[in-house]
Amino acid sequence: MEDDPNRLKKGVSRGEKFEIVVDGKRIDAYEGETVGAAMMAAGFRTLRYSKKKKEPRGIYCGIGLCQECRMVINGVPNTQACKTLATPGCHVEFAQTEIKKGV
Amino acid sequence: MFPKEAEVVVIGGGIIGSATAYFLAKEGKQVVLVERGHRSGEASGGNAAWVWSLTRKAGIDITLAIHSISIHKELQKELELDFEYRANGGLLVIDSEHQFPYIDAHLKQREKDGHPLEMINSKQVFEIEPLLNRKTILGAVWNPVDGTTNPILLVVALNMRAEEFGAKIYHHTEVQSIEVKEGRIESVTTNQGSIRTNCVVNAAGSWANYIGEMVGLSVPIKPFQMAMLVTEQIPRCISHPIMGASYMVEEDTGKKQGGGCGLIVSQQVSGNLLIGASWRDAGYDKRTTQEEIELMAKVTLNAIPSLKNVRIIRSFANFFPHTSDDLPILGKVDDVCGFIMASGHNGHGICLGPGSGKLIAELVCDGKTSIPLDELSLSRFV
Amino acid sequence: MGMAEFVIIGGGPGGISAAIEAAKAGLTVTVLDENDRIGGQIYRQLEKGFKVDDLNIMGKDYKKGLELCRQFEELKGKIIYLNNATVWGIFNNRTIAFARNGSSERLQFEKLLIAAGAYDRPVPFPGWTLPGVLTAGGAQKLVKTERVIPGKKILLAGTGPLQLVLANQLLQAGCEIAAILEAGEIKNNWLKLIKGMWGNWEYMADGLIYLHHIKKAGIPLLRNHIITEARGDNQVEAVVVAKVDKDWRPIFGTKQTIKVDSVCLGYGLVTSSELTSLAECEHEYENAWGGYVPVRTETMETTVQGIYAVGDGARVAGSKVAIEEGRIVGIVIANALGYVSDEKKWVIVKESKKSIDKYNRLRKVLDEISRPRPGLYELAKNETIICRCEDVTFREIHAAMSKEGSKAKDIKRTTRLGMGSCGGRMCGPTIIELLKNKSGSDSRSPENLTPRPPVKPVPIGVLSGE
Repeated sequence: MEDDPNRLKKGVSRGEKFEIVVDGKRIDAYEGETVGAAMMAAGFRTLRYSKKKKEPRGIYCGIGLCQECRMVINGVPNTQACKTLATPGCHVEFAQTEIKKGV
Repeated sequence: MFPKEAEVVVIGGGIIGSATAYFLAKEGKQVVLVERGHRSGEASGGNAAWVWSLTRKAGIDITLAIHSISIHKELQKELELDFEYRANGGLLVIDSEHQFPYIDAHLKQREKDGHPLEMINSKQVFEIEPLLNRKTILGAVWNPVDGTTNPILLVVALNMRAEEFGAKIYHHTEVQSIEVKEGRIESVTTNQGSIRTNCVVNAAGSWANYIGEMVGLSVPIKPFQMAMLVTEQIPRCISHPIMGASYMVEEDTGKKQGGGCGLIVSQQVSGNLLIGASWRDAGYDKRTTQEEIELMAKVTLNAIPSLKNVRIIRSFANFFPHTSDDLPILGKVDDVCGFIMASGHNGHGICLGPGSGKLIAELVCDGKTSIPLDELSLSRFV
Repeated sequence: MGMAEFVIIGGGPGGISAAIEAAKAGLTVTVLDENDRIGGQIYRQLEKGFKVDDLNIMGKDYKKGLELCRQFEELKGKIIYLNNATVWGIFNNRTIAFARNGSSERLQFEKLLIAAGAYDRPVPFPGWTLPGVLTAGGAQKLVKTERVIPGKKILLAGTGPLQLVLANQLLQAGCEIAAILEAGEIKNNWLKLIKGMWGNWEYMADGLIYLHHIKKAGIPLLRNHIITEARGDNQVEAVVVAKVDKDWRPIFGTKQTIKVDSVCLGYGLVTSSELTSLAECEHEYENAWGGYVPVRTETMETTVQGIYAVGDGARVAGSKVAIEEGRIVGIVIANALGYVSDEKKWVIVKESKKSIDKYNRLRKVLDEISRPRPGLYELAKNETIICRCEDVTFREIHAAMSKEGSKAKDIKRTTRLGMGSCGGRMCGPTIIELLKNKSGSDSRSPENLTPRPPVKPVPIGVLSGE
């Protein structure tokens, strides 16, 4: 499957495949993958922009400590992509500038 | 080189001491400020960060606040560093019928005193702060002059300018004794050395009583422990300091029971929300408890339900220097010549700091102050 | 409020091992684990959805982990396993606050074991914040348990044997590794290494096999080398590396640029000491051991009675040591609570200590080789970010250090370093080292940034119990 070059195929088989929406674009994800991993697999490396300098940041510690992977997932801001399992149809967006009412 | 002498030694590097040192140095006085701990001191290093006068009572209380707010504005122009002072107005939100009589009484008092406040209905409240709970908020008191600031940046800015004017500021420098001879200040001894001086300003906040003891004075200031929560940065969603009206209701404040919780919410320029607050009879214990952390979260969520998913990243507690009449102790003292009190600002230190600093500087330089300090003298406690 | 005799925080090797030992002795043990399933970092299991077709592909550690998990499962009757529990506070040395299933809970304990583990040491250098630059731990998790590769052409930079482990995992996964940089001095320490490996045959065999694979694949293993820069527009596209002297300072004229699209940084681990700090345990500081380590007795008890600490969270020493320390605590507590005899306790304690001593013989040598040298903290340039959360640059930190002196809290107050969502985890270790190196102090207890509860972010809705 050369169209999925970032996913390892040897020795492990995956479960259900589905799509998630990242910044309006549909990408593949598999059961058991975190949003962060699915994004890395699809070549999305930038997950947020830094506070003052607005520089791109991506997965750094990968284990939920550095807070660099915070995105808006299913409408909830500041959700860590490296800790959140991808679910069919979940929406992933970059941090908003306006908090939505009722969120 | 640690100074061997100074015209004035200011004890305490929080907002009171820093403002005092700044105004003194600006007038050309040779000032040394000594702070036992870290830059911006204790209470000034962690508080609600409000410049607030809505709940100040008629009389000297509100007079001091209005005066100090004007000094905040002046400092915005005078000091180079932007200390994030934003005066968009403040809200005291009412969420229970039983609060109205207390609010009305306060409004009447303030009206009589020439510092009126505006009562607004719930519709107007939600126009100003759309995220407030539409099911529970009944109305609010609005005060257009109130706002928020960044006290740490303010202290840093005051320190920087003071040093430019020649003041010397030392942290991690603890006062060990104050030498008095024949009723007159002679010197201050610290862990870094002794400073000859005839004038000491006691801006030691919750420790002002210890400094007072060093010159044989009984200073009735006690630490009042207050805790708050900090959220991570979120997009701008709260634009004004919001206080719950329970603060105005004696029974609700829990002061009598020695512990309590009230609503305080604001959003810093950095994007973090500062929420709280909770207090308990804890002496000098800076620890926060699970109960109060959860209670503060609950109180906040009741008032602003859409904050449900916003994450708390830490709590903190600090001591506010408490006096029995909620007013600071400012001015000279009877028995010790050269000893000046500038402590006991309760929970209003950030608002009153710049004003107090200016008044004390006036006192030292001119012998008189633009606001008479008699009511605030230490002698009122005898 | 719930009350438990023996609570363990942490589902890694130290925690699991203690739980197994104590449960075998008849105690009911409560384990609070942040993850969905036990394993911690090193024995992290695959998520639901993945199925292992070939166990060999998963490596030795995975198999070891499965074995430990099996023993853990067998004792299910005696172990209350609370997964997805984020411990956010410890109060009065008797109560744990944790968030689980959307609510905030409390649990009182008689005996507590904190086995909170460690995380990759953050090392700031120009470009370290670029997407594509990640920690060795992050890369491992991606590859091992999510089966995603971090990039097509990868550079490994760091020190110590964990790099070899990661390199082999990446190789097995079919990744191209551009080079492996080892900052530590190996050549001159060969004899010490051999002596240390005596008795530690498994380590030695593993190490040799990994090195062999790396050589066979033609991957340059650049000894005495460090990464000095990561370059790229929106992600890493190239790195600059240099040879270093014994203080890890780049030697003039040795810089070379290598094109890569991924960098894995493995400069050692830092102890997660927030919980032992909240519990008011006394700590000492030693960067070779992971930074702040709780002072412990021979049987792993901290300075707070009834509170124990094991594993990488107490002192970075690897999973084998964690397992043995866990055994010691398990049996010591079982004995303290009257479940096993003194005799039985001492047999196990003695056995485990012997193993720990054996492992530590090698550990000592590795620690010394990989101990951060001053050069590691001199890589940052003015615009290099030191505090990732608050975007505080080295220029600002340097100015604050000149003005404020050598206390971390003063720097924090005036620059906002440490005030972000990560709770100072990504910048705290750096500022402590910067201050230490500046003052030349050898202090065993430089003043730390004080952690305050909640030590991991918890949503307001969870705390408020609604």
